[in-house]
Amino acid sequence: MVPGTFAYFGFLFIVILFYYAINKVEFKQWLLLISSLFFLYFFGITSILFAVSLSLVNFFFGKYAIKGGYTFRKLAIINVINIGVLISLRLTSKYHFETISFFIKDEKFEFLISTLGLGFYTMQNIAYQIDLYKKRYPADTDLLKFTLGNIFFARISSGPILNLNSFNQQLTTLPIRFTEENFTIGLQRCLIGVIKKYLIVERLAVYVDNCFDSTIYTPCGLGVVFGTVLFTIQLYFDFSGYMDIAVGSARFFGIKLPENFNMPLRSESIADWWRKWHITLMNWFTQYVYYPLVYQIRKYQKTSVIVGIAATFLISSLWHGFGFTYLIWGGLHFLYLAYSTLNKKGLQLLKSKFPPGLYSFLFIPITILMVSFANLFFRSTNMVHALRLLTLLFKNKFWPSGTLHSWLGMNVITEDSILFTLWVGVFLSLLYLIFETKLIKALSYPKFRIGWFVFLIVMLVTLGVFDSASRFIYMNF
Amino acid sequence: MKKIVITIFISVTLLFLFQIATGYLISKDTKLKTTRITKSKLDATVLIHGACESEWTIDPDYVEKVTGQKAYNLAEAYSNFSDNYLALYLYLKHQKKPNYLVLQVAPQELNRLIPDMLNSYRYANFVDDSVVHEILKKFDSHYAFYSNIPYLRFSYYNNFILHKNLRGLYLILTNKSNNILENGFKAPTESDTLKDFSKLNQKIDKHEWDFEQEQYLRKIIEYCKKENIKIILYKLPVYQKHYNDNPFLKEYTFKINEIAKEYLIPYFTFDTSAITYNYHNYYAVNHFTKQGVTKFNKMLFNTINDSIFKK
Repeated sequence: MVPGTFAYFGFLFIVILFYYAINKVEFKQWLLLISSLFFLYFFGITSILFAVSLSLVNFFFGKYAIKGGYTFRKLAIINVINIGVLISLRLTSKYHFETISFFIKDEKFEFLISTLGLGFYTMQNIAYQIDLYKKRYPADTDLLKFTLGNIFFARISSGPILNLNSFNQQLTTLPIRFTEENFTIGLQRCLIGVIKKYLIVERLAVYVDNCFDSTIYTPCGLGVVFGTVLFTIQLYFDFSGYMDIAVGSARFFGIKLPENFNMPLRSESIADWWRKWHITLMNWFTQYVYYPLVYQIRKYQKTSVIVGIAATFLISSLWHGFGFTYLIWGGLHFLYLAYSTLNKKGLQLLKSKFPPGLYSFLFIPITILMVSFANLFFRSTNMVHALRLLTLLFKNKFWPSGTLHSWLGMNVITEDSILFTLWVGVFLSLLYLIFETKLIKALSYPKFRIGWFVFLIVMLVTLGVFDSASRFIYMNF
Repeated sequence: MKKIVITIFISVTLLFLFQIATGYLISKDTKLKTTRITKSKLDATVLIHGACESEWTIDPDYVEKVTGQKAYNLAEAYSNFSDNYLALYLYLKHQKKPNYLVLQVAPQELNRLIPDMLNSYRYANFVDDSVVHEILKKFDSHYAFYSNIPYLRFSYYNNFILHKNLRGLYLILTNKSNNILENGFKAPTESDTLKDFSKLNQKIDKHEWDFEQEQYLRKIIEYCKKENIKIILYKLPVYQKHYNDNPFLKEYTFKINEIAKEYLIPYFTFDTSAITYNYHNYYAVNHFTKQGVTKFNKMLFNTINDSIFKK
């Protein structure tokens, strides 16, 4: 039951019906918990097992550890458990196994343990324990709300990463009555999420999958650049589309989830990118890795900042998976940010010399290209695939010649309509990006407008591509 | 609540209107074989059928020149026997019955692990037909289910449909008729040459006899027998080394031959013919270059002409 599918919305609809038929807040919390367990069941019993048991362990550990004073040793013990489970399961999942297959190519070594959202709730639990240790919040006393914070179905698949304390506060004030504002915002966010997925992501996949996964057909250098940039755009629409569905689904229950994106494809630098991309993850790293580390070694000034960035991206790479590809992806972002930190004044001077419009015009594409180059490694299944693309990029002929099929490296028998699909996807994504500011504003409008909803529904049904919809990319983490 | 009901009502109405419009536009696109066979008068006495091997190899003009029989190539890329069955069903529903059906039956088409399939989108305009719907339900149950929702019969496979829809619109606006593939043959071009020799040595490790497709092959044969259409099976021979390196091809050919014998119909294979030894005849393992196509058409239809048509 992947978010965004017909089954998911059917499930969501039933939960909403029951939710507003109940008047007591505590019963609503129970309903959300049971629904979340039901949702998790579709991803395998192991998903329930790990999500619930890790919630129980963290809840009771926090509750009892605080009694005798929360020491650093206690913090280390619980986080060894949290991180240990994460690492062990990452190593046994097929997806992450494939990323390290550069070293190991034994097909028997494929233990498939399904653990939906593990990376996301582990981060929450670690943050919860650190906050207890730092005495930022008191220990949670309500197991129901604590568990719900970890497994709430609207967000368990791929976040956003929550602050359990503030989420729990929302759970105590769940709305009794159905409001037009919650319904309207919830519905339009869900609709825009599926529009992103079915109108854009599935269309761009036609070329991206071909470029990254096919070993038979070989695009020219420009074709590889095109493929990696398209992947960056696809990843944005895929992940932000999922986020729209998550935020929209939660909003039906009166719960406001934090936003994860702030128009990252308009970033003028890599630092700007990381302020706008996967915001809750970066906030987590900033708060629990970067600041504490930089603070500890602050006497080394700039070096401390560089070390902080290195640690942040090293952990971020490992969080995504143990493949070399992720390490290189993180390493590239570290280099980008380290360079801009060391040359901050020079870059500011450069910016001041340009008229604002021209600076954006030049540096937005440069930033997208830099991010896309890192994403070449992020998207490649393993180093063999990444090296193949690098060879095509640097050693093959860069400029296209021959038919469009040949420079895109696509199958010669690909129907014309498949190429057309790709161009429609590119066109729709550009159209969305041009009107993104206006659309974001429209999505927070609290009144139900018939024309607007008819437009969204008709757009979705007439222009969507529904046959090949797959999981959201970040559901792998 | 009132606003929600109005929204749903307007949306559904609009989608129904779009469904009618799209159906109309697709029915104007004569580049589509399903449109051509339902809208044009073809009068073929020899019907060529099968998957891409047939579509890109058998030239109906050549058939007519050699045999004097008017031919049409109904074959389409990526199609399996259930797809072939549906195309044949629609053809016979709208066209004059041919005397002969020349059907390509290759071992690879009966390997369950290859990508040929029922291409449901080709039948989007015919989902209300009970025969079409039944087969779609069997092989593509998701599509059959979603095709009940207004407009989803077209947009479900939008990767294919939208383009055809707009092409239909273009034909209407420009008042042009689309004569590409008038006889259904998609000829290889000069640039369709072998670029990577290793492709001819491809080893197929995984294979599994497809009983479901065998059933549809039998259905096609029985359908033709019932309609009194003489059926001729043939096989496009693959590159010799590939044939020798993949023993299952021999095994499957034997099985197909047994089916042909069971129905007392001919099955022409040219597995050891000279054409299979010259790699210049191939641009892919089972696709001929322009020169290969010329040679094979001659070989196949001289054989059919001598052993069947002239008798």
